[in-house]
Amino acid sequence: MMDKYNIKYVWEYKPIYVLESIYYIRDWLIQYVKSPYCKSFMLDSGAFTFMGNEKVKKTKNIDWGKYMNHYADFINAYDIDLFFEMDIDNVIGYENVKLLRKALEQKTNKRCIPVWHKKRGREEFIKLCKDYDYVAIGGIASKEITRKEWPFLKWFINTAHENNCMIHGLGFTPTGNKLKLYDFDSVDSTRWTGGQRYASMQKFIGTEIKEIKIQKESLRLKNHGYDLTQNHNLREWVKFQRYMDEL
Amino acid sequence: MVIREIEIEKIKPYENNPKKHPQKQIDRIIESIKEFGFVMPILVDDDFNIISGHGRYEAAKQMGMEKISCIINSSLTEEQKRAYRIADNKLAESEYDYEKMRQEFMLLKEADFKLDVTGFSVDEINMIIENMDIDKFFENGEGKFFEDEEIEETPKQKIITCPNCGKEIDISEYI
Repeated sequence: MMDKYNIKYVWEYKPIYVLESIYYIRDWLIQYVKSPYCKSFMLDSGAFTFMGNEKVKKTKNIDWGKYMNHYADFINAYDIDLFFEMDIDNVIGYENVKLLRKALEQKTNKRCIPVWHKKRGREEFIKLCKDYDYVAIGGIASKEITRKEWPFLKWFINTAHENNCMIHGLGFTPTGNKLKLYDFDSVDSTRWTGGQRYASMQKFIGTEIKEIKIQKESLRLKNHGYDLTQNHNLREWVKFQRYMDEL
Repeated sequence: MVIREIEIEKIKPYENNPKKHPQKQIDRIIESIKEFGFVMPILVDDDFNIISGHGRYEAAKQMGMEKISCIINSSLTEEQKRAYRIADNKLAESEYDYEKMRQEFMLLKEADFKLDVTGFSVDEINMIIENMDIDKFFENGEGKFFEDEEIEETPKQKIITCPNCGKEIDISEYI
């Protein structure tokens, strides 16, 4: 989740992989991800963030077709190759999600990254791995897949790889060595923004990221404090990103 | 029943112990003692004859330990001791729940914990970890759906305490 505070630091530290939601993306970030410094960019539909918007909450019927059209137009306008489907299964049901996926792919003339959720079942996961070059696992950050169930993620990773399919862990960025153990092809997380939200700072220590809570109680930082922690955390995560990229 | 530290030279292994302890197993027990300490006393009678714990005794001896913790039992008859030596090993035998075992191994692995001190060999551990039964994952239901928040937010504070000097600092200008 990049914002105005990150502009100068993104250009300074040059992250090589970026994921952003269409809901938050701004022109300056598009310029960056289109620059040679960014090896790969992934776009999220932002559908859930959109639903969380106060104005939208009051709307009884969201026109998801219209939203999909806007999403597709954006993908076409900026020639985005990696973009996630609108995985709003719990809102419109999986059958309708599949219709939206099909329409999105027709409109962009590209394959999206399906986002598998536990409710879709085992067979559907295997099918998606066979049909697509890239799939994503959702529901990790939301605890749909609980912390205790993380060991099962290995099955999903192995199954995807056995089918020559890459796999993305949505919201999966634990600190420590877990990223090496769970060998997703890509992951993302907003953990680095925790400096602002939860007063936590992260430090790359050569092989992994360590998290340090500034204090036990959470602290919401703004302005100067926000800027300092965001800057620090972004720099450390980019170091970690470069380290992981070389493995 | 009394627990005492007893000089290892005073402890007598049972000559007809029916349980074999190959050196490979003793090596694993040594690794376990190095990691966890001698946490489980062995069981001896009044004359310090081992009733249960020959493997741990042998490992401790090879490690050069001078004393080990022993539970001294005075109440068992000779026949009961003989039977208990068999029962203690036999009663510990049961099937493993490999799915739970795998989860435990994975969680230990995440924590960078040495897995071979569990007594399982590296090959055994790898086999257990790789042969996961994904049906168990789906047996647990469909999971919660989309509670789209990683960490709950808590109210902001303006006063923090310096971890070094304990001084309270007003950081309002930064938040």
